[in-house]
Amino acid sequence: MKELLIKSLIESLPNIIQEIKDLFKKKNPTAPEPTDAEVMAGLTQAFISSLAKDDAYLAIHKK
Amino acid sequence: MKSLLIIALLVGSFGCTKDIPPNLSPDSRIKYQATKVILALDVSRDAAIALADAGIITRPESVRVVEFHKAAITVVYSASPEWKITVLKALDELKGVLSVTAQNQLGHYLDLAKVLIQEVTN
Repeated sequence: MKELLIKSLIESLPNIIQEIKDLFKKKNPTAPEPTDAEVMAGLTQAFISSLAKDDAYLAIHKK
Repeated sequence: MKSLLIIALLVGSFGCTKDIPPNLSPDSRIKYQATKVILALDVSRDAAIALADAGIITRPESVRVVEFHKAAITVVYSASPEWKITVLKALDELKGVLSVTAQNQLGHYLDLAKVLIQEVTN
């Protein structure tokens, strides 16, 4: 049982590690700088998708 | 895992405020950093879910983390004048109500989010 739990966690870790890597990824120096509108769109997209994941999890697990 | 987070913190100290595109307006600079804060909070949320799925922390504790996350990202997105103080305070309160196991497992992720929030410059 314990082995199964550890296996499950290890399987989830790559996603978390990738998220950390993405968070600190150095941007491509030749890529154009984002505009104010693009930054706002990026923030909104991050917020909406993250909120959706929260709501989905809470809908299943919150009593 | 612990060493990975320490490395991430070190990299983050160079990566968060120093890579803000110089062409952005002051308001957009805040929004740029806010996006990174949301992503950092996402890591804490996803770690809590993964730990609950693995049975290492309880499901109610993961729900508490997700509820905190939802409130925190909403505050961050609102960009209210007090958002930094509000989220930092909520982070400390969350850590205080978690079990010892959950604190040990999630503490580094929450601290990472805290570092990024504190780095946000106005």
